[in-house]
Amino acid sequence: MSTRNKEILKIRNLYVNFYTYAGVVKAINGVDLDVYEGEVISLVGETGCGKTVTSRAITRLIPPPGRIEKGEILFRKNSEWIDLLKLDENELRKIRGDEIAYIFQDPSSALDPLYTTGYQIAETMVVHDKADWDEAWKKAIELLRETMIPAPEERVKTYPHELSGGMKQRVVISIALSNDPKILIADEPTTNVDVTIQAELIDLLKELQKKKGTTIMLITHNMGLVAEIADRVAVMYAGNVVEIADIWTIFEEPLHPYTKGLLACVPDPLKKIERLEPIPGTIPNLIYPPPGCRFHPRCPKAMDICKKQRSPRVEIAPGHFVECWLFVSEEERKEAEKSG
Amino acid sequence: MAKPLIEVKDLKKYFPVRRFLLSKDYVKAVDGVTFTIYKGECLGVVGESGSGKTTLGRTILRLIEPTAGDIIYDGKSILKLKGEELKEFRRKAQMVFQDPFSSLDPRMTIFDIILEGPRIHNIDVGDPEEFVVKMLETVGLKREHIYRYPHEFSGGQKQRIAIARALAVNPEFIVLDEPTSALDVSVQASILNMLKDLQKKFGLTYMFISHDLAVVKYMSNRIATMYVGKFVEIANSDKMFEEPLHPYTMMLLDALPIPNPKITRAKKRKEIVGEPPSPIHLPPGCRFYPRCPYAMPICKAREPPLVEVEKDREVACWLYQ
Amino acid sequence: MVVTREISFDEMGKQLLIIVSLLAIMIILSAIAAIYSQSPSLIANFATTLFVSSTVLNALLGYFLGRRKVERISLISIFINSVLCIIGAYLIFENVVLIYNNIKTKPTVTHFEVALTVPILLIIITYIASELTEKRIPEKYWRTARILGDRVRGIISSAGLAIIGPTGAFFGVRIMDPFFAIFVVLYAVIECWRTIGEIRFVRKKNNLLQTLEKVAEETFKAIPAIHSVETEYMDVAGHFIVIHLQATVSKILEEEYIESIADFMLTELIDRLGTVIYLRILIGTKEPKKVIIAVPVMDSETVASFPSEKTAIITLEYPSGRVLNKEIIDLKFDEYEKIPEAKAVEKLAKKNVLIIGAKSINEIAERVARHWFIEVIKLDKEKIEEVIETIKQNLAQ
Repeated sequence: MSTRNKEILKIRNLYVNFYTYAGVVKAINGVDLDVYEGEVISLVGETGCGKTVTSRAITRLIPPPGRIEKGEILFRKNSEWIDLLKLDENELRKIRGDEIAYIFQDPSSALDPLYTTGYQIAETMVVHDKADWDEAWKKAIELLRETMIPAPEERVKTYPHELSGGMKQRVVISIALSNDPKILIADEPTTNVDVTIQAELIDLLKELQKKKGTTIMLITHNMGLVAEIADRVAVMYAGNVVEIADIWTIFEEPLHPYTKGLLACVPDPLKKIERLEPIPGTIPNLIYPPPGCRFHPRCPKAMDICKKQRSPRVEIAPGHFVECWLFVSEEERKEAEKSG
Repeated sequence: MAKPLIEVKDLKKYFPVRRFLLSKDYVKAVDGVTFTIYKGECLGVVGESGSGKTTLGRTILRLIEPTAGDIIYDGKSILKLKGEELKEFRRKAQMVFQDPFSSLDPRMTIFDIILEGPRIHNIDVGDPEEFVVKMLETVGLKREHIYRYPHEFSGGQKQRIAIARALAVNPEFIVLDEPTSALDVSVQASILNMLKDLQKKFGLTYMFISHDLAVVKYMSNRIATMYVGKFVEIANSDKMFEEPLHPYTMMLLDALPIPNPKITRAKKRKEIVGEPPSPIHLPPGCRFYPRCPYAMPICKAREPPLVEVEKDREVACWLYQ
Repeated sequence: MVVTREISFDEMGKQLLIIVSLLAIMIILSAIAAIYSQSPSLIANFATTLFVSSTVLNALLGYFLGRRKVERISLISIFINSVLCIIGAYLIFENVVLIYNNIKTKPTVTHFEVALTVPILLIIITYIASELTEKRIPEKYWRTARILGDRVRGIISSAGLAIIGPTGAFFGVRIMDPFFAIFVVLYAVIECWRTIGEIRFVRKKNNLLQTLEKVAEETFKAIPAIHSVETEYMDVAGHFIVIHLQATVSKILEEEYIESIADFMLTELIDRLGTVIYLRILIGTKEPKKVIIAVPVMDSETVASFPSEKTAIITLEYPSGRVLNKEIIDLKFDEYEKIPEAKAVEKLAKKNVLIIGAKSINEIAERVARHWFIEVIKLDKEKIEEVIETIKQNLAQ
């Protein structure tokens, strides 16, 4: 189980705002998350939950009008913990693309149409001083082979537009893996791709992860993918992490009302479903978010305190965390109500 | 016994691609499709990108003119319709598109959008405002939304407006082209439920096009799998999932991630090889040949026709012929 | 009995004859225009029509002579292309000199009625020829049609460029003729280069022969029913390939199987070799020396239904029926294999099995066996020995 491994990333008390013309969007509202080495952790949630913003905040890829207000992002580098939010830009750039790498949704925009695929893979290594051009070129061919692209010796010389969507995504994966990153962050890597290609890519990620022991953070709204590849799941809603559990628990014994609601509206093709149960209401406006628990307006079990205060995080069982007043003990709740 | 509402016979849609001076290639988006949709049912059409399912949806409604073949609606061929008769067909057969952001005119209020159809078809709706409110309420929206503009609504709400627009002319048949693909899971669930309720309430017939197998299964009575311009299997939804016959359907189901870790991690997937062929110069035999794990010599030489191999099950594969 | 497949006259030969006739008309018209008008634009245009004709002539050569297995058409092809190149190159050279002089002296273009109408006629005739290649040659041979059509359509570019000069001269701007002739000459040079390219292709002929033999080895011999495949004749004319293939299959096979094999071979060859202009496959039957049968077994003696976990593979000498070899193989597949019977039959096919003898066989397996040209004999016998006997008797008929 992944909890026996050491942590490699710790996000603490993260707050991110976006200062737009319409107002201040309080996108990330106090996120705490631990990532263990070698695991596949999935951040799930719907639009506006903040999973993408959180993943980008890790290496400060938040452009204005976004701003990381406060928090710590601790990364274990060579047995020492460093706060990525406090590093200067040059130091951070050394880590981005090297120890923490990204894969995004649209491979076409990740690849430069003017350079060959081989060049782009090799470039990542050379820029991070991992190899000179000759070695990098050779390694690029190896990486393409590992991502199961046929005839890699010829493919290194091709341009992105000559490749299909699935192939492009494999090239993007090769680039991301070229420096043997500690953490690979995949943000909806298969949303634009056909089901069959999606299956291939996920199988590929699973294999590479087994072989190299890379930690993968998978951001997705597709619960099927999560079921296939994730070890642990963190469910996010409107800028908060509402539940964290291992893969089996989250599907079999979800606790948070939002998690339950989410799972109830995902159509499982193997079951005979009479009716899907949608979650009533809509995602809140994050410029004027509801007070207290942001889910309370839609929650079937909302209590008074939910409307006033955000619940603390409770560890129900080892590794299973929920942020919900339903699971906070009576005394603690009364304490909180008093201090108001 | 169910009555056929639409019968499609060997429908083809080819798009010319000019190479240069005088030489044309044709993208065979729909390359000979034959099927029937029965009154009151929902036929799901599943395929990946390049399968031609979107072109099929549009051609069936004559939003695009077919290259060959026939479409018979309620006993009459729609290809020969003109003038008033064509207009009447367009009232009866509606479409809901994938992208709610671009299918609603941003310069029209919801009131105008919903009334546009009845106005064009000279339908007497009584008091226009009450009518529009009734339509909005049918799709779960409210009276106060009536004079707003599309941009003021979320994706899910826009899709509801699009559905209300389609319903405003009292149609019989609706083609839904990926109606919920752009939406969040919970919004999708509520729209799908609404579509099911509306179907029962108004006795509608649906053609539901999507790449999402799980959603198609939830909505459809029968499913047709489409591969590079042709149907490869048509079957009852439950039976297709229990026992897919065509190797492509098997591949799709195999690739489908199931939101249940116990099941999805236990199964071993057959390695998926290759990519679909180019829809311009198709090989002579079965189009799935290069990727099929059961390929036989005949598969390369001759294309298998789509035939009924057991009751209510059509498959185009030499394994069954 | 013998089964034949070939690229028929209706499919290809007829079209080629029509195209070459149209081409002949175009050459004559271009020549007339060149001579009468003395315009360098039209002289270069004439050179282009000569270069373009190399492809059409090679197609004709390949089809009609290749059909009769005439030896060394590749040499004839090289000869034709070389002659055309030399004549064309000479014309171009003379033309360049003419352009140089004309720019200085600006002579008039004579016989405008020829100079202006011929290019238009050329464009119309090329259009007809193009429609012919695109629409009348079956889709199966699209690569061949494409090469032919693309080359012939080059005449449109040339004629289009060539008409500009004389038109200008017609309106009094005499310098336009030699000036635009430069472009027509440049285009003619491109076409000359393409004709030379055909010569180079022909010289790569040996590579093609190797590909063909590889295709024969891998694909055809993997089908158990095919005993031998022999390249009777293969040659190249320009980009076009001619093949005569002879194959033998076991006499035991049913006729519909042989027809199916023929279709498969035709498709496979065209797919792998591309620009085939003439192809003939002759499949003859021969008595096999041995026949391999498969019998599903429960243990080493008892017969079972197909598919079963173990299968006995027995090699019988033909026609004596003497058992030459007997082995038992595993036909197990993991539980995720969705159609294990299909895979089982395929495995047997790869082992050159011609007959399956079983108590019963499921529907799909029987169909798949048929598609792999394996005959299925259903026998109500318990012991393998009995099955072998029955089959021996069957074979004797």
